[in-house]
Amino acid sequence: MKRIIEKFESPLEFVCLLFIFIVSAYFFIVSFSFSDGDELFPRLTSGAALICTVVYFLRSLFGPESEDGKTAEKMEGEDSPFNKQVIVSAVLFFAYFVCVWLFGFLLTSAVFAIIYPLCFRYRSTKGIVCLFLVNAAIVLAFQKLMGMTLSRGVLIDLTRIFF
Amino acid sequence: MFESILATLPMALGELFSPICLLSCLLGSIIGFTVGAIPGIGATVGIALMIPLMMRVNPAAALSMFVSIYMGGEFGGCVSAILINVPGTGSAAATVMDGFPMSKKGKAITALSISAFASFIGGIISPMILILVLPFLSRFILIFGTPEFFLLAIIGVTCITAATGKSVLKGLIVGFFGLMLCTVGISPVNAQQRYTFGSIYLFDGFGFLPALIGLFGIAEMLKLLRSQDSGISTMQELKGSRWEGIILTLKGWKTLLYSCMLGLFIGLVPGVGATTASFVSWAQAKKISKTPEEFGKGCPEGIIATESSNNSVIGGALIPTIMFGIPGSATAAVVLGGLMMLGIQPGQALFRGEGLVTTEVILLSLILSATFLLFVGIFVAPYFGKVTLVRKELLIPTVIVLASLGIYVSNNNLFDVFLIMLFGIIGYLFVSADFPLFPLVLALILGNMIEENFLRTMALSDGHIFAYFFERPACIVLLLITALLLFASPIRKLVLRIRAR
Repeated sequence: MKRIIEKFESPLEFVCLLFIFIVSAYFFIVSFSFSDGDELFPRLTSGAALICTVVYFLRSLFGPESEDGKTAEKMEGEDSPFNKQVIVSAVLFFAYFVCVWLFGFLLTSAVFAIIYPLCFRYRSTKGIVCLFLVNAAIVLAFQKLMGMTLSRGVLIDLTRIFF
Repeated sequence: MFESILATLPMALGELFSPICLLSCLLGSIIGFTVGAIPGIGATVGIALMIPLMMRVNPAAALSMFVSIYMGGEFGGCVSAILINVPGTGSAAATVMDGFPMSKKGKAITALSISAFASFIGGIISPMILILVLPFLSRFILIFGTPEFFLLAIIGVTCITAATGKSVLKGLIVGFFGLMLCTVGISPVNAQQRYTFGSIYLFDGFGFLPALIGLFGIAEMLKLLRSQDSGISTMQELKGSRWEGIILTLKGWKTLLYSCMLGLFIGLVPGVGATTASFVSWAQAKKISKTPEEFGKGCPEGIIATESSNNSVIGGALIPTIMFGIPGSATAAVVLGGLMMLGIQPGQALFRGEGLVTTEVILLSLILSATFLLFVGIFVAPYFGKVTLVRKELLIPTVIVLASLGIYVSNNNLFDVFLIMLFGIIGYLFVSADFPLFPLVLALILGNMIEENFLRTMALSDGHIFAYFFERPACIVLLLITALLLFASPIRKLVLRIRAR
């Protein structure tokens, strides 16, 4: 397996191609269950994606090495797309979504503004307070000034307590 | 021939000078300037974040806002390039070469004034030329019917694939992947559910707005984190003269006009964009200059060339966008998304009657925005340097909150917030694996239109789609262009390999 992955520009390229291949194959197979007329475009596009992915796989595995000779080994010296900051941020982004669902936009956005910089060792109290106020103000501006209905969460509705 | 333009121009001016449009234009210019000045953000993210917020206002005001952010973003990029040696946008990377050395010589204000004035000229010349050629464009677009629009959309995805990515095949993979994702939801023919897993959230499909915000907003934030730069840099002292900058720009009028025209034409080519225009203009200006040795050492002509061309690109890039739905750049693709969210379809309708007024509003907004930005650039930009030093730890949470709120209010649906996070992660992974995002975004924007035109063409041709294409001269030309775009690069490589042997 390792040998196969090394044939690609990076392991991530292999993972992305595999992901596209699996999704396209699923779309292609399921398209046969659609009625007449509905199946044509999904079948064509997923089929085309599938063919292009297979061609790319074959070219990477059996074709000549790319001009710049960029193999997985050579990529080792470069910075990884999965550094600590990126992973922590991605987790925080999803946590933000879950908390918005649970606690609504106001509380989550304000707390997110404090937690996010702290996770990256940003210690300026002035900066964090400013960010907290800015984010809370943005949510309130949406809610009160622009009159938009925002999610208030399924657990705590903070706007009812304070406003 | 010019009667229709003369009849609609006063209406467009009336729309543009309404208080809401003027305010949108001014706000858009300032927002664009700010996001452009902050390295790593740019107009694309700015417009993507503003689309959901502008859906409830007058369409003319929303369009003014979008194109003003575009214009402001291109100009704003030069501020950080000149003051802190970090280009705010890709196109400003060429400005760094002469802008920062000039700044180091103690002429930061002069450099910013040159940039502001050159951007202003570039920003007004291209929309002016385009307004003049609108009658010809409106006649030309009549050649195109349903099958041609289907092929044009295919060309759009192909052309951008060929122009943006290192590998055409990779571009095609993500392009088809995007088109495939567009088929999720209720089908247009028999209203059958496709790939919805019975979930009510997927009945309308993914929608391109969450994809747009996720791919350009969230993914860009993650990309920003990958760069090791903390956002802290040293700013040059603010010295120099505003008038000297303007006079120097006027003295370099040949470079100015040449770069404007170059930018306009490069903008017309889908997928090429402002970054290429800036570098090509800089190289050309060096070629025609009497003092080429000064380039790269703080030469005013270098700044004139890059800044005038990257602003004149905008008008050029918007024309194929509104004519055929083929955006000239990634930012134009987001503008296209904004247009479609407002219910405005690119094509013939935008070149007659009320549609022509919309097109003129877009082009006139560019001129108005460029005028606003001239004053911002000359009088405000020098004091704007500190904004460019904002830390990413503070910037990212604000963008995430804004993006989430924006997408939520557009549809009152929390699932869309989840989608922007999901598309953000997918976008980041794709970019990190060197897959171009532009074809994916374009496919997501144009997917439904392509399917409808495809099905209509199938019905018109009675199932014999290729025979039908070959009956129409415009289709034959478009098919040849598609084939050329797809196979030119592999054939060239093959010929070179044979020659080398």
